[in-house]
Amino acid sequence: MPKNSHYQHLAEKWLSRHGELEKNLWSKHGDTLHWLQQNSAHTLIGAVGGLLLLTTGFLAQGAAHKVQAQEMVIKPLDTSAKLLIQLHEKLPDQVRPLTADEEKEIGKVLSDTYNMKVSAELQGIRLNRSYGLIGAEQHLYRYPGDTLDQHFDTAEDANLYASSGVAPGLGAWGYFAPSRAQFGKKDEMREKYYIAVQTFLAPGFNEHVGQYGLFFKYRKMLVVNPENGKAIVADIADAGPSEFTGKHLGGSPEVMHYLERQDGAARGPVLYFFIDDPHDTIPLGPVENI
Amino acid sequence: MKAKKQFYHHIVSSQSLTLELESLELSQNEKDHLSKIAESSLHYTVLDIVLTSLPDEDKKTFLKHAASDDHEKTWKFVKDKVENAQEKIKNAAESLKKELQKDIEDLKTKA
Repeated sequence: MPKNSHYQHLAEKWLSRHGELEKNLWSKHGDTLHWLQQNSAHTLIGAVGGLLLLTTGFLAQGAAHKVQAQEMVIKPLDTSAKLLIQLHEKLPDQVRPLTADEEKEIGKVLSDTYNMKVSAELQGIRLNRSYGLIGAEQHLYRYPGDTLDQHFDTAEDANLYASSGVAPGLGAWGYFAPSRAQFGKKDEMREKYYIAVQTFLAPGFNEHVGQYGLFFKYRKMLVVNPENGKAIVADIADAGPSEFTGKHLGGSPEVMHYLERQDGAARGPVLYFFIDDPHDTIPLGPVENI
Repeated sequence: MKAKKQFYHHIVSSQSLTLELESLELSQNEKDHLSKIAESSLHYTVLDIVLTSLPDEDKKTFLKHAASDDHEKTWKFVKDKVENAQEKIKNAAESLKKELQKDIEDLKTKA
């Protein structure tokens, strides 16, 4: 048998057996598994973790999970599934600051997956953490005289994002442009895809306020929801949230919507790593087609 | 490749399978993928044997413990509620591992 068919042969055989085991499990214990699924969709990931690692999409499929699981299993893992598996294995069970080794390993996974160089530390500067709970921020005023309704190009966008409102104060660096006439596409994208991070908690911030301020201003970061693999290139346009909130960063309404993250009791973690983009070639916004 | 820790990992290990896979000419991605299928298959097998051995009223508690990723608590619960839990889990897992190992051996013979 040719060597290159060893993998094919084993994968087909093992996946077929895996499918039988899965079918058997759901057929015998479906009621209990459904109960857990319905009562704790989030923790089911932990409950049948091994099972779900190969059937990543099936939690979201609701009642169709059996068919979906079978279909997912007989396909080779795509990039997105591979990413979820790797993150699931490398991330701690608790949302805590990552160790230097973890940051290095995860930075490599993200760099390879999204084809951009990312790291928790850039130019000797790092944030207080690179894995934390994200909360929802409001829109920011972009230039003097800006209003909420001017933020949206379509009725659909207005419908999705207007309810978040506009923050009463300006972002950490003031307006994005000094006037409406000078307000361009780049400024628009910077507000649309902004995040607020705890710059004030960055190691060394108090000793180098000016230098750090320049570094953080509109610095691009890759923000990834490790539970669905959705990633977005965002920029730092505000400082926050306060430590007492229990949150570690905030996302614009557009960032939160794309990542499928929510505030409040349903809030969840994201990874946020600096993007090394010295020539400003990586556009802000969702990272598609991985 | 590091597998996610499970409550039964002190009695069931897939390391021998990983080593067997090393003896085939496979890329790292291929080995990782096959290891993942094996891990997941073992996981199904263990879940099945535990759930089958538990009375209905304890099944939900077991899944809740497992969902919390508190492996110590989960294992204690299983040990308390399932007679000969260690032996049952080990036997079921070993039986599957033998099948998987045989598949690898068969491939080597045909090579």
